[in-house]
This record gives sequence, structure tokens and C-alpha cells, in this order.
Amino acid sequence: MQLRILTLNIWGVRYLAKLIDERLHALVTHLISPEVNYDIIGLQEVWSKTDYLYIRDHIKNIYPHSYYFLSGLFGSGCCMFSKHPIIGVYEHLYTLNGFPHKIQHGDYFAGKLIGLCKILINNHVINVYNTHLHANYHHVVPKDIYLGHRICQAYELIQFIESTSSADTTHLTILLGDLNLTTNDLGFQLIQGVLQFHDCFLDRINKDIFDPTVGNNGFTCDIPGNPYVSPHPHHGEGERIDYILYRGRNDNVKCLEAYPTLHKVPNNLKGLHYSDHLAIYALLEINDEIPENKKIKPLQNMEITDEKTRTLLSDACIIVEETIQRIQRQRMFCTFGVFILVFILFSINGNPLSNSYLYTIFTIIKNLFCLIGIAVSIWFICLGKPVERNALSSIQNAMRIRLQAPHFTY
Amino acid sequence: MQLRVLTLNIWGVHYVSKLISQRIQALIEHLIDPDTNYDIIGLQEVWSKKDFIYLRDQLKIIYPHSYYFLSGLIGSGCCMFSKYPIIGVYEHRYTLNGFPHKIQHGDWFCGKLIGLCKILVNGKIVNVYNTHLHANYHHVIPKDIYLGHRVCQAYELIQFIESTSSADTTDLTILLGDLNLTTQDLGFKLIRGILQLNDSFLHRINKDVFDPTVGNNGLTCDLLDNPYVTPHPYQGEGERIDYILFRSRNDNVKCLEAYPTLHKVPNNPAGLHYSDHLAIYALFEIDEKIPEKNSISHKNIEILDEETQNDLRAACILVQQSIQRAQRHRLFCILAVMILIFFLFSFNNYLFTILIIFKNLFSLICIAICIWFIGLGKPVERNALSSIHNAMHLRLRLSQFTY
Repeated sequence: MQLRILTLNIWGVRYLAKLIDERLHALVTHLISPEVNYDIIGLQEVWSKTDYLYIRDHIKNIYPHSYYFLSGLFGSGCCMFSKHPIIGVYEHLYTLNGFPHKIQHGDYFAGKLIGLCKILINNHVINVYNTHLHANYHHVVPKDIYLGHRICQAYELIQFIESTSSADTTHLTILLGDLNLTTNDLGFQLIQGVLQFHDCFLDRINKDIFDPTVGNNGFTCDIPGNPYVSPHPHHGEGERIDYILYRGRNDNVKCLEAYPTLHKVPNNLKGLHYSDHLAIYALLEINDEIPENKKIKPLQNMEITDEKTRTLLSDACIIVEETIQRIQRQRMFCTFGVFILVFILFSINGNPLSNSYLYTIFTIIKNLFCLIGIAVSIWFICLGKPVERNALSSIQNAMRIRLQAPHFTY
Repeated sequence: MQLRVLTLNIWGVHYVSKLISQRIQALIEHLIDPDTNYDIIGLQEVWSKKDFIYLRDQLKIIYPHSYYFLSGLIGSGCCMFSKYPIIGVYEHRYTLNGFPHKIQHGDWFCGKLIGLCKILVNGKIVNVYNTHLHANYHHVIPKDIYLGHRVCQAYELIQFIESTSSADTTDLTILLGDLNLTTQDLGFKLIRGILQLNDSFLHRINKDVFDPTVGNNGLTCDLLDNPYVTPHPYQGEGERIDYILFRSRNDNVKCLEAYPTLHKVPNNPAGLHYSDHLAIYALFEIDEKIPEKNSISHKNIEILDEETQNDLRAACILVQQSIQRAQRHRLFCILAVMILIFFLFSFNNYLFTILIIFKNLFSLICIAICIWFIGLGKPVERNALSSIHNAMHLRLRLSQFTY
């Protein structure tokens, strides 16, 4: 049995992204064309529910089953389309997802999660996980203020997939989406070390089959020819951060082809591209003749058997610890800020000698700004940062249990 | 093989609860007593991490394995102690958990969750789930503003247990804790109908074994003679809202005894009680001689029986009503903002300066809170409710999703 899978981050950020309507129309045209024959499609950054309904209604003759993972303020952006019935859904909202004051990044309000659709194909139960981790705006580790959050998201992803893909009823586990992690990143190595997925692009059998308009390097983001990408100093030739990973229960699944695709929209005079990311396409083959491997290893311990993954987990614990330390400093910074803002609030409030219009307006604006700043800082000190610290400590404790190291943070 | 399980809501709310230190000390003395011989202990409302660390250090000789589920601002209050190794932990924080402006209730800040400890007992894996759902302050449905949230929590509990107790590696599933649901409540019926868990109190074999100081009615909360309970009109004789529920993979586990216990602290002249809740104790017997069942291949998801389908439809309607209520709250907040802005800019010449400052400060704080509700709090709540609604519908195989 063959399975064709597609994942694409469609960059559907209304008011910010360019040419969303044209790009969605191009995507829908591609999906309903008869040569294309996907079984499962996972999309990310479908922020607008109207966009989701548009896609769903236009492809429902071919993909009658779909689900959107609602979450947060305008998220989660993740949705699934399938030729075959979706018999169950579940999700896990990431506990840590950026900061609310970083409005220009907006991840905090996105309600990012890892969503699971159980799809029934020819009596096989396939767990398809769709996710979109916190974006990496800084690209180098010292400046990357979201590193701790992204590592925790990767760990929550691991816990979720581990807990929900039961060896007894799940024939095939597929993780697709925009992980915002390269293969060298600690988060990705942790995912591979614990869950032991096959990477479609690396493990594909026919390495010579690829999309000629794209090339064979596997990169999916920050591609030099893409008109929607803003160049940045650490650009290089692009990054591979979108994946299709899989694991078959019986070791009876092979990846025949896998490559990035959907770059330039064909026959388009204006040079339209589908998105600022490339899609990843994978063709899997499930061999039904291999007899079922009923021997489940008895779970004596949750010990990670290889040294490398233990080291990775210890590194992750250290990164999370550093993030926790940083929180205390941020809280003190906010307290300091409150004092300064209160001082500013009660100063320069009017001079009986020069009661001009501009001065009154300036005073009002200054006081409003101070009050907002004080309110936000107090929220951080009392609610935002302590909750964040508890969430980080919680993940750290879970990592330590896995390492069998009984030193927990409270 | 026998397994002794205990669950207790210890009412550890510092600055509000009475006599916390004495009650925790009494609990520790009970737990390290050589006659009691629990294997697994689940506690709720251990809000202070110091209290947990104190409990852990005093019990660690007999219960060397423990875990606290950290969450939210002050929570989650749920922790586990075990004689046997905890080989894995996982949790699911409830998406909906009350409202932040209800400071007197405080649930919103608790980070309530359902926590899982995988415990390895003589080669068998026992999934022990500890949870504490949103409290019921109103007791009658029209007034219960948290009903929608509690039903969603029950549904998320169902999804979590379903997804994490896999038929192949989990020998025994135990759900314990303060569900804040009576057996008549819709949330509880859903939990039993979909997960097919057995109620240890109802399914116990030796129905005549119980704690003589407590009685045999199974009630665990709002007891008439508990000094820490504030009487209220709907109290009756009490409620049964703390449970130990179980299901075994091989149908090889029986509940021999189960009853509420730990009411009055023995030999205490001051009339100390352990908590405002009673503990539930259950004794299980695992029959290892029953051969392992061949697992049923899942060609379809389980079909729910008619009664559970009706319960699920009722839950969908309830959640839909909560969504509409959230929309009304938003409109109410918009109206309030306009009134408050008017208030802010009026009377500024007619009052004493101190009054003006207080009035304007109060107005600004309320405007900020209302804007938070309109812009963030209520939309997020509505999305979370819609998400659960969609999941319930999928289970009922309907295809009308709310966006």
C-alpha cells in the first residue's frame, strides 16, 4: 500500500504576508489537479479560519475529511486534510510559547500545539501529528531568547507522541510540520534520540527523484530565489526546518521518495510562489506481507539506552535551567522598571507657569504610557513570569525523571 | 498481588485553611505508622511546595518515590507518593479553568491538570492518574458558572487517559482524586461511559468493611460533623466527589475493599480532623494467574452506547451555551469600557483630589481588565470551548464544526 503525504507552511498571516488569496488559490488548484494524488495533507500558519474554510470547501470532493486545531487567540494555524476517515483527534497545547510583549513576533498569542489525527486507511490506524514550533528569529544561540521555550516544546512533543502512539493499535506514526529546528539543533536531536523516527528526506530510497525547479539539497526555508524571504546575515543557502518523520510499528514501512516541492507556481506570469516555505512531499510504502511483530519489549525502565541521548537530555536540562535563572533577572528588571515608571508618573505633571496645549497632551500620553507599563510589569512579576518558571521547572523535572536523576526543582 | 491506594484532598490553602501544620503532621504520623501499608498515595491541594517537600522528606523512608506536578501560579496541588519506582510522568493542563477576576475562588491561577505517574509494580505497569477538577461553589445548575469549564475538563481528562493508557503496556489504570463531580453529574457519566472505568466504592466485594468512625455511605465532602465545612443550603448529608476508579487490561483486578477514611485524628483532644474532605482507601487484588488476553484489533473506534451518546450530546449543548455566554460577557465588557471611559472623564472638577485619584485609578484598572477580556481572555476561552466542542462532535461522528 502506498501513502502520499504533503506538509506546507502556507504563510497565511493576514495583513502581513503578501498575496495570500492568490497563493491559496494556486495551492487549491494544485491540490485538485488529477495528477496530484496525496492521501494526507498537513498545513501550518492557516491563521484565518475563513482561509481554512475556503481551502476545505474547494478540495472537499477529493479530501472529504479535515480538521482544524483551534487554540489560543488566533491559532493554532495547524490543520489536516485527508482522503481517508479521521477517526479521532487529540492535541497538546505547548505550555511555553514566547512572550506577550513581543507583539512583533506574535507566537505567544498563536496557541501553538501538536495536533494528532488518527486516520484509518485500509484497516491501518495511522497517527499523523502536525505541529509548528516557536519561530527562530535570531538564528544564533546567544541571541535566541526563545531557545529555552523551543527546547521545552520539543520535549512536550516527545512526551505527547510517546504517550499517544500505542504500539498495539498504531500501525504507523507520522510527524510532519514546521519544527523550526535544523538537524543540528538540540531539540531535533532529542526528538530523534528518544522517538527514533526515520527522516523521510534522509532515508528515502530513490535519492535521484526530486523537483527540478527546486534542487536536491532538501532546504525548505530561506531559499535564495524566494521573493517573500527577507535576507539576513545568517542566511546561507537556506535551512531544512520542515520535515516528514515516520516510524512503522512493524518496521514494514519504507520511504520511496521525499523532496521539497511547491516553490514557483507554474504558468504564472507575475512570479507567484506558493509560500515563503517549501512543501515537503513523501511517498511511503507499507508492506503488508511482513508478519506482525507481536513481541512488545517489557518496559522495565524508562532508561535511555544510548549515551548520546543521555548527553543531549543533560544539555537540555542545562538550557532550561539557564532560562529559569534568566526569569528571576527579568522579574527584578520589571520591579526596577515599576519603580522608575511610578517616579516618572508623578513627575513633570504640570507647571503652573506654562500650561500650554502641547504640555497637557504630553502629560496625558506620558501618564498613560506609564500606567500601561506599570500594569504590564506587574502582570509579569506576579503572573507571567512565575507561571513561566513553573512550566520550565515542570519540564525540567520530567527530563530528570527520564534521566533517573532525582533532583527536582520546585 | 495486592495494592493499597489512598487519595486525599488535604486542604492546604495557606492563610485560608485552618491548622495546616497540625493536620499535615497528623497525616504524616498516619502514613508512617507500620499498620497502614499503602502502596500508592495521591494528594490534592498541596499548594505550598514547602509542604510537599516536608511531606516528601518525612515519608521518604517508606515512600521513596514521589512527584509533584508543577503548574500555573500556585499549583497544581497534585502530587504522588509511591513505594514502587515511578518510571515516567506526564500531565495535561486543563485549557479552561475558571476566570481570573474570581480571585475569591482562585481556580484560574491554580494550573489544574491531570497528572500521570507510570509506576512499576512487580513487573506490571500501573498508570496512576491524579486530578482535581474545578470546584463547585454554587451547587445548583443555573447558578453554576463553571459548569461549562468543568465539563470540558472532564472531556480533556477522558481524552488524556484514553490516549495515554495504551492497551499494550498498561496493565492497570487507576484514576484517583477530587473530581468535584457527583455520580449524577454529566461529567462523571461521560468519564464512566467513555472510559469504562470501575468505581471502586461501588464495585467493592466486601461491602461490609468500612471505617467505623465515618459510616458506610461513601460520602467524602461537606460532612455534617466536619468542623472545617461551612454549611450551605444544598449540603444534605454530604457528597461523594472523591474517587478511586480503575480498569485493568486483562480484567484480572478486583477491588476487595473501598471506603472513605481519615476523618477525626485519633487521640487528639483538640478535635483535629485531617481535612475538610475525607480520604478514599481502596484495596485491589491483581490475579496474575489469568492468562493474557489477545488484544482486539481496532478496526473501528469504539461505538458508544446509547446512554453515553446522549450524555455526549448534552455535553455539546452545554459547551455551546458556554460559548454563547462568553460572547455575552464580551459585549458586557465593551459596554463597561464605554461607561468607564465616560466615568473617567467626568466629575473631575467637582470632587476632592483624593477621590478623583481613586476614581480614575479604579476606572483605569477596570478598563485595562475589560480590554484584556475583550481582546485576549474571552476569545481564547471561546476557542478552547469550540475546540472541545469539535472533538466531542467528531466522536459523535457529526460533521458540524464551529470556527
